[in-house]
Order: sequence, then C-alpha cells, then structure tokens
Amino acid sequence: MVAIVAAGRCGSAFAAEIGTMKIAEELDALTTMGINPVRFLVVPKVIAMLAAVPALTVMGDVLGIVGGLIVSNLELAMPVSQYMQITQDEVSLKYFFEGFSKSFFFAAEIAVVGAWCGFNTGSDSVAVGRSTTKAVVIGILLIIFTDAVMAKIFAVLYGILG
Amino acid sequence: MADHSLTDQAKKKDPAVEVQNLTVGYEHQSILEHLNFKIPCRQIAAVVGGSGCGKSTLLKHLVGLYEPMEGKILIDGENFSQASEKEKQRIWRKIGIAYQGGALLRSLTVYENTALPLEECRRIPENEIHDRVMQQLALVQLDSFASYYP
Ligand SMILES: Nc1ncnc2c1ncn2[C@@H]1O[C@H](COP(=O)(O)OP(=O)(O)OP(=O)(O)O)[C@@H](O)[C@H]1O
Ligand SMILES: [Mg+2]
Repeated sequence: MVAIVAAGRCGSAFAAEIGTMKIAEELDALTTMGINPVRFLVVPKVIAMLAAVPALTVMGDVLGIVGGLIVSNLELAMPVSQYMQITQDEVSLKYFFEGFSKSFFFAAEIAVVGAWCGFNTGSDSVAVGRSTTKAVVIGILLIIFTDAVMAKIFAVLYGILG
Repeated sequence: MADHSLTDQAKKKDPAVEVQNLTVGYEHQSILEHLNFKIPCRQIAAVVGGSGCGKSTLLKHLVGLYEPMEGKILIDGENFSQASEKEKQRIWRKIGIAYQGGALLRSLTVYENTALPLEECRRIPENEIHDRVMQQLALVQLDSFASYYP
C-alpha cells in the first residue's frame, strides 16, 4: 500500500523533475561540467527512498492496526483488550518483517523507474507529462510484480524454516 | 600573460575546433549534413541561422554531448567521439558553455550553482572556492544575489 502511494507521489515527482531538467538542458550542463547526471541525481534519490519507504511502511503498519482497533471498537463494539489479543495472536512478527524487507525493494524500484523515465524524456514539454505517467504506471506494475515474487520467496522460506 | 598564451597557442598547429564531413541529427533523422570547417585558436566564430535550423544541434555535437552520425570533430586536435570517458572529462574542462535557457539547477542557489563544478571535479579548499565564486559573481554584479534561487 505504502509503496503504491510512494510510486504515485515520488516516482512521478522524480520523472517530472529529471524530465524538466532535461528539457531545460540542465542535464547537458551537468555532463559538460564533468558531472555524471545519473550519479548526481539518482544516487541521492535511491538513498532517500531506501530510508523513507521502510519508515513509512512501519508507520503504515501501526496506523493499520490502530485503524482496525477504532473500527472494531466503534462499529463492532469489540473491547480494546480483545482486539489487542486477537492482533497479537494473528499478526506475528514475521509478517511485519516480510513487509519491511519488501519495502526496500519497492523503494529502489520507485526511485530507479522514476529517474529512468525522467532521463528518457523526449525533447518537448509534452514529453514530461508522458514520462511522469509512465513512471507511475511502470512503478505500480513493478511493485505488484515484485510483491508476488517476494510472496512466493517468503512462502518457500517459511516452508524451509518451518 | 596574454602574449604568453598567444605564443603557447601559436606553437600548436591544430585549430581549436575542426569539423570534417560532419553529419549531425537525432536518432535516424539528420539535421545538418557534410559540414567542414576549421576555427583557429583565438578566433571568435558565430553560427547563424533561422530558428530550428540546427544551431543548438551542431553546438551540442561540438561539445561532445551527442555522437555524430558521420564525420569527425576535433577539439585541439583531439577526436571527441573516440575519447574515453576520462579523456572527455579532461576536454570538457577546457570548454565553457552558456546554454540557451540558462540551465541553472533550480534546487541550488546562485552561489551553489557557480560553485558546483569547482566542488565536483577539482580538489580545491572550500575557502578558495568561496573566494573565487564571490569574485566571479561580483564580476557580473550578482554577488548580492548569491543566496537567491535562479
Ligand atoms: N532531442 C531532439 N530529438 C529530436 N529532434 C530534435 C531534438 N532537439 C532538436 N530537434 C529538432 O532539430 C531541429 C534543430 O533544432 P535546434 O534546436 O538545433 O535548432 P536551433 O537552430 O538551435 O533553433 P533556435 O534558434 O530556436 O534555438 C529542430 O527541427 C528540432 O525540432
Ligand atoms: Mg537553439
């Protein structure tokens, strides 16, 4: 969930930023200053996403549990203690770590796809719009795909570990 | 100083820029074909033409941003398209470019924009960078705008 929101928000922003820079010849300027635009622009974004997305994922996990608590308490009149008990029984730490470790892959994907779409922007301003859309679409598809692959990997891992 | 560099340059036979049978363009579409010219050292040259005729295209190829479709570009006798990444970096340090739209990084201040190439590709102490940047900005009366964004 968090990764898809991040792909919509950050992936598109990265593509738009780098795409606009390309149109404004800023990427050419960096290159001729002897600065590699890929290193200069992409590396900080990947690092930022690797820090932000896992942190947001933890926050999302906590908020999800709190949200569930509010709904079950108000709508289903379930006592808080019972909800906490069920949550503790059902949500084991391994699910938390599964989501947490996946978030690193999602983060890197969002940053790389966003930047890649930005660098491949055409030469007119319409192209910036196109590459932001592309960044979101490819980003979300890749997240869903990675999620499926990782779910399989984790299932196998759980099988091995018992 | 000026005399010194004149004799230095005069010793070299190579023109500053030489173009041989150059065809430039994007992807499969050529924009300018079979150009030949030489620009000697210390000579000012201008490329003129109507809008969209390929002036920027030619210049971007001359500074090695794009690979020519055909022909050769020699900067001080060195072929840009055969240069390794490292050699390209060295040639780029000899070239100054003012882009059509300014091409300043909007996330950096005027000061940071000016300091960027000094910080990134040379080992210069910070206080010297500061002095040189402020000196250059003062030259164009932008020193009081150093902390502004472009
Ligand atoms: N990145 C690109 N990909 C494909 N075609 C391009 C690209 N950049 C420019 N062109 C096309 O190449 C032609 C020449 O463009 P160029 O920018 O070199 O013109 P110019 O002479 O600099 O014009 P102006 O005076 O408006 O700056 C134009 O028809 C333009 O549409
Ligand atoms: Mg132009």
